[in-house]
Formats: sequence, structure tokens, C-alpha cells
Amino acid sequence: MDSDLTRRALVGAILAGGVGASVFSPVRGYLERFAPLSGSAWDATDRPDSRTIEGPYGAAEVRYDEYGVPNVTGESEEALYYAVGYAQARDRAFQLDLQRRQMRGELSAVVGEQTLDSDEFRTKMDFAGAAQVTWDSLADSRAGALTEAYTAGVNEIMANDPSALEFSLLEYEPDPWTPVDTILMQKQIAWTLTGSFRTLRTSLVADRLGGEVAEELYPSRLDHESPIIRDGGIDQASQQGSRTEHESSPHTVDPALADWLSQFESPSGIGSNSWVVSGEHTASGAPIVANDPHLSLMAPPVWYEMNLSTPATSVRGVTFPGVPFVVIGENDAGAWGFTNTGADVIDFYRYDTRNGEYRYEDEWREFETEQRTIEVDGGENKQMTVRKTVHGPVIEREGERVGVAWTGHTAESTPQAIYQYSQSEGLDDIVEATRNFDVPTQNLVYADRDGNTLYYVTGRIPIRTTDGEVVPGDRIFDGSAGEGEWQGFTPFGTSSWEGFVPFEEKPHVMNPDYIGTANQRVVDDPEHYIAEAYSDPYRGIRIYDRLDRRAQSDEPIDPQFVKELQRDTLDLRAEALVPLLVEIARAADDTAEIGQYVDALDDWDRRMERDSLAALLFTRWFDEYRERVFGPTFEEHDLGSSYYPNDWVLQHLGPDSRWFEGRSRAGVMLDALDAAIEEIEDAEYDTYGGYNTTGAMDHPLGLDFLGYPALPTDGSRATVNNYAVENPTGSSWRMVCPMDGPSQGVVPGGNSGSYYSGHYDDQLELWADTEYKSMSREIRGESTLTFEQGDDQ
Amino acid sequence: MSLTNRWRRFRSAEAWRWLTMIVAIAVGLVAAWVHWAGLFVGGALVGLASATRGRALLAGFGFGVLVVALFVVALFVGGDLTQYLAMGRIVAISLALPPVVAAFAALSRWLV
Repeated sequence: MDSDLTRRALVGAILAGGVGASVFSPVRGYLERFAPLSGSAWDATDRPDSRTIEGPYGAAEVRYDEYGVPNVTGESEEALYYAVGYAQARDRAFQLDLQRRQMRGELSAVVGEQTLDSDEFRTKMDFAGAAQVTWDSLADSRAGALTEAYTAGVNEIMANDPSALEFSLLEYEPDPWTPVDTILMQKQIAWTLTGSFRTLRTSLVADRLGGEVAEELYPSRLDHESPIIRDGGIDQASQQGSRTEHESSPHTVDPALADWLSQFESPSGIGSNSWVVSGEHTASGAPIVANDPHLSLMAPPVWYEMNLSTPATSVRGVTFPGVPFVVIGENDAGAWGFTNTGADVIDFYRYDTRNGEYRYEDEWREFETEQRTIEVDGGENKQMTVRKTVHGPVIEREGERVGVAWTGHTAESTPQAIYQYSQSEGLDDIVEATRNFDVPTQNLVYADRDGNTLYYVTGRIPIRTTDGEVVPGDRIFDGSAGEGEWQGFTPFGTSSWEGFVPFEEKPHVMNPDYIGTANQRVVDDPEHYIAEAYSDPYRGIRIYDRLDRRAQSDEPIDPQFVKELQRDTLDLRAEALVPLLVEIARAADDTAEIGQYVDALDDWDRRMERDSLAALLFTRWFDEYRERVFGPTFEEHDLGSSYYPNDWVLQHLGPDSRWFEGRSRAGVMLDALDAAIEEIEDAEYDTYGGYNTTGAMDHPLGLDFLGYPALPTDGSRATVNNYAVENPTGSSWRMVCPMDGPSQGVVPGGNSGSYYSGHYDDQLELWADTEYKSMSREIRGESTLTFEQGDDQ
Repeated sequence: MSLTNRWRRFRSAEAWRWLTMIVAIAVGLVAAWVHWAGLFVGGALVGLASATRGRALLAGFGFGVLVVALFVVALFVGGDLTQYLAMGRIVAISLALPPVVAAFAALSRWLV
């Protein structure tokens, strides 16, 4: 009996200990998430085929088409956008919450210390404060009312059914969505497209390497002849005046601060292509709009496609998850798309300070301060002071500070503009809507079914003055001395915009025959300063080259040609450099071992195609060459590769350039070729498609299974068919909209962000092969979600 | 007669033991479908229904394997098996949890 008791006591203790360990240790987390049958990780597999939801806004229906695109109908706009919110959250709930957390500086609360820097930066920039004042100004508008309906729809999922796998993996549930969160999503994309610290970086390079070198590396104007608005098609208002010359800043910036800030601006490669061709040059006599915005490529995609219909409107296109309205798309009247203008809408200021005060002109003022706490999962919360001046937020880091003025830091009406695009009935409506488009600065292209075409720069562009004189924004201003003032701008308030470039004076062309945009210089001689610099012009040159040749030929432009242009893989960097490289390699004495590679380059058509060895060799050679040219000097001055100049500057370095001092250009080119060949052989790549794959498109959580499979694809960062595998950016949406025929589009991945959905990556192969699917505005698909007026509403 | 002895006598009748085992499995599966603690419950019940301690451990392990099998079938029927199998370490964790937990819970057989 005693031994029985002892045994029972022992076993009982073991069992109790085991159960206790399961309940009070990390094991419990594994059980809760991954226990078969009951684990929360499997909740997302349980998606009913159809469902009826009672809501406060009336009847609506969601059908999913063959690519998981919600085809949403509503008896009213409120009912429609309520259903839109529900569908978006059903498909992208985690993405919504992650983006909101990032912009609010609340990532560390769920992922830990690794995102503390991001949270610190975004808390100090107070994007949330800017979103709040924007919402306050919009709440009573039509767009505001519909955002409220959308928010209620999102919360049907966020509050009641947050089944996304990622919530389970990170072990948290999302807070309810708010209209301010929707505005935050718009601030996020505005920041992505206009939040540049180029001024600080240029200033730092000038400080380290000298002003002359900085001017050479970061020219404000690249030497090419292919601006967006060219001779013959320029609106008169845009032709006057002369361009501003770059001047180095008299005020320096702390290097560590500039380095730290650089991680929070757009990744290189953010850009886009678009063009509109009028009926003058098309086979049908009706215009065609084409657009492929280049943004970060990831799983799930940055865009969410929707097909929306009410008795009064029909619109299809893509939006950012978290935003109710179609941003790029087509309605009954016409189609519109955007590329980034790259206008300079951000300035930086230094101040004289003393004891918590800063000097502004003749008086000492107290910083507007607020204490914030950043929560850290599994770590110590961080306390932080947010400071602001008359110009905007102040970014501080280890005792160094810089003031920031950004057009997104005020109440603005862009959501109203985006809503108005959906409602537009033609060219005049689009122009009126564009007046409300405050941030970001974009190149809008538009065509309608009446045959009109349009190019217009959107967004508020500041006119800076110092002592009453207009100055460009490519320098750090002395904020205490009143330099670089923006008249009519009230950060975290409501701006009058009275001192900004008037709408009519912004670059635009009414009814161009055709116009192409690819983030290149807008116009040679703008009336007003627009930007510090623009992107590499390779895509812009190629687009105009092909459009020009086609327009001057006997063959009219048709949708097939437009798609072929979006597929174009000719790399103009290779056109310029490969003949020289081959000549140098052939002239060298020791190239017998690499003869096959030199032959491949020589025979190559300069197209970045997946089955090409030469394309693979060129892309690796180019980056090795870049590293060998700039690396030694930059490293010597403690500057990383993010400070290297763009590809156009590298391409145009002549043999006598200062960057080859002590070396020969030919020698550097050959060294780079040897290194590229070694790299290729070590990695056992056979063709470009082995290196250039969709596998680079990761999920933000970094888990392999949530990323996309590695499909070979074409294109480089310099080709019209745009894909930068080294820093996955590129065509985040491809759209071709003929005004008299079926429109098509494709996203890089799938419309659903639910890992278990068949639509998680069902467009990836189409995208990799530069194929398209229908974006018909006909309502299609099985009825999945039915929304009814609730009894208690 | 103590409750323990009554249970021992009941379990010694083979027909009753099998019936008890079937009921234990059914109850355990339902519990495991509702909550992860069901893995403990199911493992403990099949352990208690087993004739010997050695068989109890086997029964617990077997119950865990049955849970896994049902789970995999459910994923296959739902069209989610491929995605599940791609989940790497999560697959290993989810496959290991039921047999280990249920076999551990089957130590309850040592109590009676």
C-alpha cells in the first residue's frame, strides 16, 4: 500500500508538473497556436463558402472572381464601402494592422526590440498626429462618411473574427480599426513616395568628400533629352522660367543622424511607368492608358484589387489595403494612373537652442513637447519626448537634431480627391478632383471615353523663401534665421497653401497626343523649382523611343503594343557599357579562360531575359563594377553603399574620371568581370532566370513559407519591365486600359493575404511571365458574402 | 470497495474495457477539437482505459497519432494540406505535440 501511495504521489506530481509546465510556460503558446484541430493557427483554414452578415448600411454583396478579386455591389455607397471594408479585412487583416502599427510606431509592442528604431522615428515624426488632423478636416465630407462605413466593415473582422495566421504566429489580436488608421495608410504611401533625406545625405557627402565631388555624384540634372514634357507638347504655363542650380548647403548635419534617418526613406527602386496615347495614334481611334507603379514587392502585394458597383457608379482598380477607394483604375468615364514625380516637398532646418528653447527669428520659443511611451514586447518600454517647432517635428538622436517640414504633416484632402476620381464623369471632373490631391506629388495620366487625354502633376509643391527671395529646397536651412519659409503651411493644423505653387502653374498638358512618365525630369525649364533630382532616365528614354518610333511608323498603337512595351527588357546601361566591356576584355591578354563569357556578352541583344547568360553576367558585373569604382573612397570616408550615386552617373564616368585615379577604367572593368564570373560559378547560376526570381519577395515576418516561390522572371532595375531582385521592388501592378476595349491588369502575387487561400499567389506566374488577366467591370463570381440591413439598425 | 478498485474490476472485463476505450477516444477527440487541453484529457482517458501500464503509454501515443491523422485528413479535405506541409518547423511542432502530450497524460494509468 505504501509503495502504491508513493507511486501515485510520484506520478501525480509528474502529471501535475507537466500540466503546470504546459499552462505556465512557453509550451502553452505552442499548444494554443499549433495543437492540431484546435490551434489558432488553423482558424484561417476555416473559411465558409458563403455567409450572411447583418450590417448597419443596407444591402450589399461580395462575389469573388476566378482570381479572388471582390466584385462588390451595394444598394448605396455606404452599403458598398461597408462591404469593401469587410472584404479587405477578410483578405488582408494582418497587413492592415501591421502597416498601422508601423506608422504609429507600435511595431515593437508585438515583435520586440528589433523594430525600436522604426518606432522611435515614426513616433517622433508623429504621422499619427498628422492623420488625426486630416481626419478632423475630412470627417464631415462625403469621403469621410464613406470612410466611416468602410471602418465599420473592417471592424466586423478586426473585432469579431481576426483569424489571419500572422496574428496567431505573433500571439496577439488587433485593436479595432479607426478612420484615422485609414488616413494613416494614405500618409504611409505619401511618405514612401516623397519622404526623402537626400538633402541630408548630399550634405554629408559634401562634408566628407567635398562640394565638387558631391555635385558630380548627385547632379540636380541628369544629362539626357527625354523629360516627361517635351517640346511641342508643353503647356505654356510650364515653359517659363529657368531651372534652379544646385547649391551646397552652408549648414552641415551630424553624420550619425543622417545615417540613422536614411533607413526610413524609400528603398531605391521606388518609381513607376505610365503613358497615355490619344486616339490620334491608336488603331481604334480611342485612347489607351498604361500604368505600372514600382513599389516594394512582397507577400502579400501592396495593392488590393476591387471591382465596385452601385446603381450609379462602376469602378475597378487597385487600392492600398486600409483605404476604401480605388486609387488607380477605371470607371464608366475613363481610366487613370500615377507615377512618382519626385518633387521636393520636404525641408530640413537647424536651430540655435538653449534650455529647452529654440530661437525663431527674434524670439526664443519653447519646443512643443509631448511624452510618449513605446511598448516593447519582451523588453523594457522606452520613454520618449516628441518635439515640434513652427516648421514641424524635430528628429533627435544622441544629442543631434534636425527640424523637418513635410507637406504630409498637415490636414489635407487627398482622400477626397481619390474618392472623386471614382465618381468622375470625364476630364473636367478629373481636373477638379486633382485640385484636392495635396500629397503625394504624382504624375497623373488620364484618358476618357470621349477621347480626351491628360497629364497633370498632383500635390502641393512648396515655394520656399529666405528674406523674401525664392530658394530651392536642396539645402539645410537655418530655421532660427527664418530661412526656407513655407507661407500658408501649418504643421499639424490646417494649411491655406497660399504660398505654394498655384494649381494652374504646376506642369500639365491637356490632351497630349501621347506622353510617357517614368520618374524622369518633368520638364527642362520649370517655372518653379520642383525637385532636387530625378530617377535614372533609362525607362523614360526607352518608353519615348518606342512610342516615337511607333507613332512615326505606319503601324498604329494598339493594346498589344502597349503590353509589349510594358514587357520591354532592353537595358540601356548594357547598351552603353557592354560594347566597351567586350572590347576591353578582348584586348586583354589573359581572357582565354573567360572567352565563353565574353562571347556571350558580345552576342547578347542587351535584353534582361531569364534564359540569358549574358544578362546574368551583366547584372553581376555592373554591381561589382560599381563597388570597385566607389567602394574604396566611400569606405575610407566611412560612407556605406547607400551613398553611392545612381547608375547613370556610374555609366558616364569617363576613363579620366577622378574615380579611376591610380587605376585604369579598363582594369577596374576587368576586375569586376572576373569577380562577377567567380560569383556566378560559385552560386552555380546558369542563366539570369536562376538569379532573377520572385523568391526575393518576402513576407514582412521573414518566414520562408509565407514568402513567394522562386519563379524565374525578366527585367532589371533599369528596364521598362521593372524588377530589382536585389532589393525587391518593381511593377507592383500592371494595367492596360484601352478606352474602347477590355482592360487588363495583374498583381505580383495574389489578391488574398490569407496564406491558406488559393488566391495567395495565383497571379504570381502571370506576373513573372508578364501576362495579364481581365479587369472587367462586369460583376462576376459566386456570391460569397451577403450583407443585409440589421434588425436593430 | 474503493473507487480505484471498482475501476480496476470494471477494466478487467475485456468487453467493457474496449467500450470504455472507444468512449475515451471519442470524448478525447471532441475535447481536442475544442481546446488543446483535450490532448491531455484524451491521453489520460485512453490511459485509464488500458489493461496495462505499457499499453497505456501505447494507447496515449496512439491517440495522439489519431489526432494528427484526423487533422491531416481535415486539411486534405479542406484543400489546405499543401500549404500546411510547407510550414517547416510549425509542421514538426504540430505533428509532435499530440503523441507526446497524450502519451504523457496516459501516465494517469499509474494512478489507478
